[in-house]
Amino acid sequence: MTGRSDLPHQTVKVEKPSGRAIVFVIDDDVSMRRSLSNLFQSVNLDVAAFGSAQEMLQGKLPEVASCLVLDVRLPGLSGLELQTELAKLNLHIPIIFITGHGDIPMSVKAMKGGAVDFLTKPFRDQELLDAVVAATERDRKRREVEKTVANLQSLYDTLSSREQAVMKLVAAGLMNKQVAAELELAEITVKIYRGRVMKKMGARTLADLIRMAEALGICSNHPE
Amino acid sequence: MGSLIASAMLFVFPFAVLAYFFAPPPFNLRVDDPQTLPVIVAFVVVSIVGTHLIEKVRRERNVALEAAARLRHGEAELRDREKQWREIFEHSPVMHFIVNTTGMVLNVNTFGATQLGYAPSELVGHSVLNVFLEDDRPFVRERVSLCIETVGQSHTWEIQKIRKDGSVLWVRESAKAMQGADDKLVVLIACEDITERKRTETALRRSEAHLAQAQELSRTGSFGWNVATGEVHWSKETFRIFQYDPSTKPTPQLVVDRTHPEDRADVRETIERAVQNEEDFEHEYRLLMPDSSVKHLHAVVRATRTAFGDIEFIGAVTDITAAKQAEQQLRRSEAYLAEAQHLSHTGSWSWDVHRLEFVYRSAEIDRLFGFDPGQSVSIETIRSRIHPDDLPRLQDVPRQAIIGNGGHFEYDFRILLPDGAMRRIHSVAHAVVGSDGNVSELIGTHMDVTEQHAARERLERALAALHESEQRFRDYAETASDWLWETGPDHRVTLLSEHTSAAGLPASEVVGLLRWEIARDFDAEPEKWHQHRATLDARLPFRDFIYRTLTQMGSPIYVRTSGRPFFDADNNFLGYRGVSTDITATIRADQAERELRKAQAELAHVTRVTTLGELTTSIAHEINQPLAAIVTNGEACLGWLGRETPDLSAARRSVEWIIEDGIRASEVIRRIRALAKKGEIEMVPLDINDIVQEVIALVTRELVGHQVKLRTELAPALPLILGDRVQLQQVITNLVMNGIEAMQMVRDRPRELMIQSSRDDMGHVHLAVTDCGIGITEDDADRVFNPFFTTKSSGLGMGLSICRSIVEAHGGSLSIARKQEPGATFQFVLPFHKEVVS
Repeated sequence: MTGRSDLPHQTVKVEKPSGRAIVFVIDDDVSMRRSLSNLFQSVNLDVAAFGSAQEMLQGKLPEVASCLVLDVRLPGLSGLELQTELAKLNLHIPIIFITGHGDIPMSVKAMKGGAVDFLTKPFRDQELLDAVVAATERDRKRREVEKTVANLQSLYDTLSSREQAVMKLVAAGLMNKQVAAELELAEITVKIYRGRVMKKMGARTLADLIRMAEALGICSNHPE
Repeated sequence: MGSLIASAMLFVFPFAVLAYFFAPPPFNLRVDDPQTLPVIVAFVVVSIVGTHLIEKVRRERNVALEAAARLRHGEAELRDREKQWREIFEHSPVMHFIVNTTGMVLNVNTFGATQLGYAPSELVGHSVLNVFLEDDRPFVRERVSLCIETVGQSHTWEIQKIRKDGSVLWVRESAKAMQGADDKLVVLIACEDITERKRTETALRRSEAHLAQAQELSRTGSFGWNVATGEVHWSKETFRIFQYDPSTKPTPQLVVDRTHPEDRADVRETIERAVQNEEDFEHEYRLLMPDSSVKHLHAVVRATRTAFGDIEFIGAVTDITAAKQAEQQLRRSEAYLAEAQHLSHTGSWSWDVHRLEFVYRSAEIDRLFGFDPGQSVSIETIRSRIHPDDLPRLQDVPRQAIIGNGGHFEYDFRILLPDGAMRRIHSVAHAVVGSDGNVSELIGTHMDVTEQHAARERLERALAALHESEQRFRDYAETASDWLWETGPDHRVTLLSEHTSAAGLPASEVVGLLRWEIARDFDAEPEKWHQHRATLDARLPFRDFIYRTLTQMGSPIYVRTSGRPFFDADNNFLGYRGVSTDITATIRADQAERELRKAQAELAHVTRVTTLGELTTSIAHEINQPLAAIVTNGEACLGWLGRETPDLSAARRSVEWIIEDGIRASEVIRRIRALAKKGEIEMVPLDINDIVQEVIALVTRELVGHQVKLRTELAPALPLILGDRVQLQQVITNLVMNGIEAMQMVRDRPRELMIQSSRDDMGHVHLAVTDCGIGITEDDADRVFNPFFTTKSSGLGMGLSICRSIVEAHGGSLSIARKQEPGATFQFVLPFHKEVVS
């Protein structure tokens, strides 16, 4: 990330994240919530601030890159509990914890839970901003991957079951002959299926197809 | 014979002379002096003249003798006649008087004299007037004169005469004057005794007058009606009753004419039937008079038969209009009386004291005794309704009346009615003395005085209650204070109850002093007295004014006094009245209490500071929060300004927030300093909910840190309490911290802490802190408030002990309201703050 300057009043440098991103702030303290929102807005980040975890969970999370900045000690659902709750909901939003008086067990727990960063007050705002940018970037990437997989999945879904089976075996590195034997088909038939699969999945090379299968997680650990 | 006498005298005379001269002197006729000679001469002359005269007389006598002889025959005849007449005169049964013109009786016959009880000789020669009444004498004189003037004419009159014994008789007198024998006029009077007739006449007249009068008085007219002859006679009164002129000729038709048209047929029928049956009858009917008035008549008629055998009705008709009216009036006035008695619940009665029964009893009497008027009730029944205790008194009244032979009685008794109700009767009676001079009756009234009695009882009760109330308030005042006092309009003490001497202030020395002259702190605290004087001048009540004075022994005492002005009916200020109490002991105790308070306050401060130590983490967070926000806002501000086109409004907003957060940080510090401050206790009116909010601000972080959820149920608009803000914050903080700590080990349920405020009807504010922690064991419950008791590893063990003393110093109490799992409730109660009455 950006290096620190010893100059006071150093202008916060933000490596602008590519594309839109939104920062969720959860803090029961109005001042804190307000100042954090102010800070993120001043660097052109979109902010959504909440007083409690429940408030946030009630809303619908947007389909854009985002991260969550929250206090460990929240009234009601605590920060750590929210982390667990989000994991249960399969929401992989990156979390940056801030705490007034952090302690080691809590940090370990947070990091284990997949927290991006753990900042102890008082922290330099640059640290926070850096963490936020990193977290959103990570989220963006995760989202891109998720999006690709989703595309592949939809292409994959257009395949017939025979085609899928062929694709699975091909991706596992089997020769046409082997595939035919496996599926008890004529080799020529396997070739035709393979051609259709390549076409439907938009794979130009076999390598492409294998990567796609990996992304889709349909690779069987078939011995080479 | 005359001549003989003359001769004899002449003969005797010379002898007498000679004897005079010659006889030896029985006396002497000597002419011894010159006087003798004329005597002798006169004697000679007289003798000569006498002789001549005697001669003349003798001649005349002879002539007379001749005439007498002539007359003597006629005289005898006359005498016989006279004798006859005299017999008649004497014995005629008529009184005859002959009087002369002067009225002197010349003669009266024996009958006449006897009738008058005189002998004739007693009357003759006396005035005839003597036998008349004094009043009649002028009349007699006048009559006699009349007779004399009209000689020969007879006059007759009736007059009374008096007998010698004074009795009176009536006579009719006929009189006439005539020439008497000697040419003198005499009056002859013949009197006939008409006394008997007169008496009859008078009696008749009187009885007629009586009858007339009786008729007039009784308004009864009489009448007679001979049916055969048609002859009708009406008495004067009858005319008057029928209002016809007495000169009218009465007829039966007149009666019918006057009769009221409605009664006319009946009257006619009655009369016709009577005539037909020739019988007596009696009827009542009305007349319609010309002036349209109505008269009521009652007629009683007898049928009699006259000497001629005719039927004659004789009757009496009575005007009974007055009686009728009186009867109506009486009936009406009786009705009024009955009504009056009914309205006034007063009945009248009369009791025969000998026959022991009611002579009379008004309807109201029966009503008072609960009987229907007119119902026949025996004496026993009446008696049975009289209260047994009162019966002897009632029975005693007639006895007293008989013994005292009269008297006036007033007594009360009670009537017991069958429905159980009781009537109180006031009775007034007086004895009536009969014609035999003994008491015969008691006449009296019974008046129902139940209402009056009840009213009097109510009044008496009210008076008794008033008296009791007065005594009660006196007791209150005397027990609530040491002495009572009163000052006049000039504020000088006028009255002091005797209790002052117990306090060492003898009343005798204080009475007459001004209030501020009693006190000894007038110079020390002029402001206090200045205000007090202002209160007095404004004539306002004052309460609990405290001043210092000296006892008789010279030791200082403190007096607390309260007073209020009093005024007369016209609102004139008369002075103050009040109570005073010697509060020296209280003041001393207060001083000791103050010392204790001070020590407690110091201890509280120590505990508070300890608590602050426990809160350090929370406090650090509280301060860190705004500080972190300030830094972040500052960075943001720089960010806004550092843009290609600086966003000034966002930068300004950032700076504003920085200021706000800075203020917030200093607020936190101020609060903590206040808690740590070791200041004087400041008792001010406070809202307990405000204190709770302040405490929450302080412990929020602590709650969050311990995962404790706070719930509050604060009653709105609670009355204020009087207290020290910091100390009450300390109490609540302590309770909250204890609650948090009690839930530290709780894992299986949400940690929840509840703060509730409320009020009760007894003038208290309640504050309760409830946790859901481990609770308190029975053993610990007794000791939690003890100093140095603690279940914590750290801590002084003074927390709850201090809390309790703080609450008690505020006039309240701190207790455990619930101690079993899950959790405990600590609660304190504080009294409402009362405005001090000046």
